[in-house]
Amino acid sequence: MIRSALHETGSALGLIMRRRGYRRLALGIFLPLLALYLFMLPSAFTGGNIGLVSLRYLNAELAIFSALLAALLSLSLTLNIYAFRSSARRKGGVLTLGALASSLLPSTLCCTPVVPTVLAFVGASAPQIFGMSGRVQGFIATYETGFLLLASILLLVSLRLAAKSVMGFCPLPITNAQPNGIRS
Amino acid sequence: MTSFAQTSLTAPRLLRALLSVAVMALLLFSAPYAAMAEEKAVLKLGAPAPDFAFTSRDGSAHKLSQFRGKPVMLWFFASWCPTCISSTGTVSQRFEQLTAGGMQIIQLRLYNNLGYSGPSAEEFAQAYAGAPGESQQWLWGEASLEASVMYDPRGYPDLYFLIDRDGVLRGANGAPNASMNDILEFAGES
Repeated sequence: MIRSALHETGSALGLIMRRRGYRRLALGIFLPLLALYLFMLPSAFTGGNIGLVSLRYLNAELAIFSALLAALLSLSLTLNIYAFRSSARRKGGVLTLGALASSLLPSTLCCTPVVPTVLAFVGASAPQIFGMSGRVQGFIATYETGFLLLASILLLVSLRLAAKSVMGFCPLPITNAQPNGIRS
Repeated sequence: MTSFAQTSLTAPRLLRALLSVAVMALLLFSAPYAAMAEEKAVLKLGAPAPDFAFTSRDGSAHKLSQFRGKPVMLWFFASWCPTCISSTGTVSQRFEQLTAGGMQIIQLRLYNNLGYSGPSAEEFAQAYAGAPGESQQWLWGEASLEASVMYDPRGYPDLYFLIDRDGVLRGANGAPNASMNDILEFAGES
């Protein structure tokens, strides 16, 4: 089952990569995403400050995740665009969004004012904010690698589903069509 | 049949009504707390820094007011916070520059580590501050609930204040590693 899934995904990727337009599209999506991840993932070490200051904290693990997430997301999106253009039924959109959210959670929620501000906005009291904010951010900070792994897995599944919809769509050629459209 | 239909129509309506009342009650009761938090939340820059007591890692009792006459960087942190870890490393690297003008660094772990377990202030200092962390110009301790809520009512895990020699708040920010130039400027000018 895994072998057939790999084969099908490989075939779908091969199908789009043979076309120069889609190769360029994939690269055009990959490069900005890579830049986004390279700057954003280390911002968990700079309180959400993104820029050269966060780049200073880029380590091997974050660099690998940046490349992996950018590659999976760009390929998944490219396959989905191909499927859309081919009018195939697209799958995996929710997973792709979920993966994107999961990959950006550590750098956006941990050690930034986001969680406390949201809690204050919904009317939580100071003691409540005090207790809940730390628990949420502490959990995210402690399991950052887990969130990134989860994002990678979600993207792999999304890629697989996108490949399935691309390979599963097979437009039937209309031959010897009758005036009413029925093929003989 | 009719009574069953009536009951089945009434029950969801009743549930919705109860839910609405519960939500309104929650908002009504939480609003005063939120307002209180707001009143306490913002320490005004240019106003005196509220005084409080703390115990440093060697067991000595201190009050913030005893550091009048020196510029102070008062830093509240949570020991699970990656920004705090990386910033402590940066402060350690820049320690001599920061303290050349007599600045006192006071780094206090927020009350109960903001509800998530992690190293104590002592363990954190040993792990991440290195030799400069042993200096009397870099005091470590655990903040009381009162001090934590007073200075950080929103529960930001990484928040520092710059207090001048007269005990007046001159700046506030998070992530010292990202705002190091501001801190150095304050330390140099004060």
